[in-house]
Amino acid sequence: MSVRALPRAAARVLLLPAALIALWWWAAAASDSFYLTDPGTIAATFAQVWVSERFAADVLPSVGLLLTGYALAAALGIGMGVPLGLSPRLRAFAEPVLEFLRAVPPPVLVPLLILLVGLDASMRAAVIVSGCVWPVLLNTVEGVRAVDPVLADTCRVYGVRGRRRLTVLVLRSASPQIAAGLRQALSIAIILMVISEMFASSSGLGFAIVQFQRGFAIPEMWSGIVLLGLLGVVLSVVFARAERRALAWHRGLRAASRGE
Amino acid sequence: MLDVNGLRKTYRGQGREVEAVRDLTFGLGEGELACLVGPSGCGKTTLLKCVSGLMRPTAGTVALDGRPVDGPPPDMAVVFQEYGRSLFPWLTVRGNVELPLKEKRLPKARRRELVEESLEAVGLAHAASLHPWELSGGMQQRVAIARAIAYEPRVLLMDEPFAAVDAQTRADLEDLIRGLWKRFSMTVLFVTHDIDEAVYLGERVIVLSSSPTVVQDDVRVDLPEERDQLTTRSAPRFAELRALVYREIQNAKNGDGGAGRTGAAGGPAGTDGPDREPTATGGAR
Amino acid sequence: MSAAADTAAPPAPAAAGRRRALPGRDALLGAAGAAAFLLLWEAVPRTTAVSAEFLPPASRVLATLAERAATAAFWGAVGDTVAAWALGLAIACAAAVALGFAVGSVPVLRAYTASTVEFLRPIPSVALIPLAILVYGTDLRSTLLLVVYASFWQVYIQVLYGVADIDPVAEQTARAYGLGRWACLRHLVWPTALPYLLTGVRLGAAVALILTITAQLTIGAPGLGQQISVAQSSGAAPLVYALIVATGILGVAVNAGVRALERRLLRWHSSVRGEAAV
Repeated sequence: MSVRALPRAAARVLLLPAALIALWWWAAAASDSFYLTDPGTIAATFAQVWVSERFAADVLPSVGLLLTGYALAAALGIGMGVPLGLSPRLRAFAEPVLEFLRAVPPPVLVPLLILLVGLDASMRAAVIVSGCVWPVLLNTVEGVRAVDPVLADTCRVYGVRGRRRLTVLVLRSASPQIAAGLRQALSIAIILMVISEMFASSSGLGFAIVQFQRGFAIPEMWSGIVLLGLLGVVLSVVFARAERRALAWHRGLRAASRGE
Repeated sequence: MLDVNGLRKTYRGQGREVEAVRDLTFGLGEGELACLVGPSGCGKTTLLKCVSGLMRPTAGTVALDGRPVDGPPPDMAVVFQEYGRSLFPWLTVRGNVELPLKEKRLPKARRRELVEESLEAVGLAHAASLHPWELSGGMQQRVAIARAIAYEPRVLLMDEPFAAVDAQTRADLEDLIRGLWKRFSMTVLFVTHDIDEAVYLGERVIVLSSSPTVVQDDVRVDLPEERDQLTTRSAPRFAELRALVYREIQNAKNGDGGAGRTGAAGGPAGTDGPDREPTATGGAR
Repeated sequence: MSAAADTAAPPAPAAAGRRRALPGRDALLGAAGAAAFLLLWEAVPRTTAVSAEFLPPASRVLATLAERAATAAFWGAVGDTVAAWALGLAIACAAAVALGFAVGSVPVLRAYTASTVEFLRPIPSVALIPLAILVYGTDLRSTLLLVVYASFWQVYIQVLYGVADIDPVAEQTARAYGLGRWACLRHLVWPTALPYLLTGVRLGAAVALILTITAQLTIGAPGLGQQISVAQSSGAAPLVYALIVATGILGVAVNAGVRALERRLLRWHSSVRGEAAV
């Protein structure tokens, strides 16, 4: 990129966000709504509220729980999806039940698991696992089913079987689809983390935000909303990075086949 | 060493049976390079899948060194027509060639040696660390060939490997195959629908009839050992052989029986159709 | 056939991809699977492993559901849930289609809005719950805020992909034959973008249902979610399960409905596209 193009690129990225923030600022100043806080106050409150021990007490445990539940769900979903994808008979057997289970909106699991497990952290982890496992599972099944028959024949001819077949052929060729499932699961994980804390917790990010709202601490509440937003953005950026790295071959392949 | 005896394959689809291969018998001697040629849709791919043990024949046997083939044998390699789909896009060229060797549990040093030798043999030593999709179609097929060679097979099966590459690349790859065949002394069974290619490459051309498939004729290619795209293809004998195979295929399309493996042009009047006994004798050397 | 075959657009339809009619044997196996699931559910609470107080047997849950289905309150809740879902999804789709086509077909707009979209899209809509409670209370608008925000992005992004996927050759052809702006939109842009739009609607519909239930659970807007929350706080385990089964049935219906819509519209689409492509 040339030096002259640089300001243009910066304008492309920053112009609209800057305009929106300015608009927000103006709206907050012009309106007398109790609920609308200007961005400056939110930023100041944000630093005050979250750059403190609160970060370690409320935010880190929430994120830790989120990641634990997500990782467990990913392992479980892939682990169950591979045999289901490989065996048409097993798939036919399980399909109606899976169709039903995945159609249950995951948030209803929160009250259910409160009944079953109680109010502790393991319940929140269980909520995340049981809500996130479906998109991973179903996408793994679809991905494994779609393994290219020519590649499968190649493996047979060259005696590639067992574990190596699983890692080199099955999981790798299903990986773009598995990644799609993992991406869906990530946004479900955040939803479940937040509402399980809003519903049934005495700490954590979701709990803190609801506390602020109940106490009409409006700038604090806004700062919590911003933090949640940032968490979503950061997780999705990290995910996109990891996906780019892991699926570099896939992008290359697609670009090559489009160029043909 | 490779014997196909009474091979028959029928598919069951939507309530009716489709007979892809009726009754095939032929044999390949050690170190032979034979081309299978036949009209399109005559079950060449089905045949190759049965020979490679990827598919179970409905009847008949395939034997390698007298042992029946009931799964892909360990000393056989296959090059598929769909090069783009037979290479692992997530592995580099080196990874693709090395994968079967890892499965063979060869020591690392030996693996490296084989990978380098085979990539060098197909002229891709410089591309080892690229991914298949970064290469042209012809180069991708070279990778698939390198992978087959590195596997050190005694039998190499090739299923219309050059059907999807351009003419110039195709000529290069044909010469490459003949070179590799001599250098590594393998038995090669090369399936193609291209008569010129079959005559140019093979020591022998097995002509198949149209579906349901039987062996229509078995032609010995008595061209000199050293072949060359220019001189060989313009030799009178090449033209004769080409015409012979061409006529056989026309006969096959019209449902005429084979002309016998003596290679006399024309053949008997097609009264007996494809039901007659196959004409080829097995194991010709 | 080359590598293009399995990697080509339209975008990977997540889980619902290809689906063929089940032959008899598969249907039988599926029925056996469902029966096994119900039997397991029936048997486990009768062992000592899990108390029936927390996990009532299937028969009891289904009986509770049947009992419940005879009441007007239940159907009122179902109606509220479906209405909030449908309205939210409709608003999100309308906004996403209008904005998506406008922004997608003007490259400058697209370039200047990309960063904002990339930032706003991953913001979890549950972050808006406290705001919704403060501003709208338990009103329907609370639910709509969450549902629209969450499902809008799903549809919008797909519409952008769809508009970007227009074949440049087809576009030049349309220009060369002097197709007007409206005809271009009607015969080129819309048919190209439709499969993408429907993918977006399918993803958006599932997300909208999740957020509808979420809003009812957390905010207390009337509907199935709120009933579950009430049943849970009164410790009525069989009712909680029964209502969850009801939301599951609703979810299955939503998925099946959207898939049917997709099949219908795409059949229409391929024929129209065949004409327009020439």
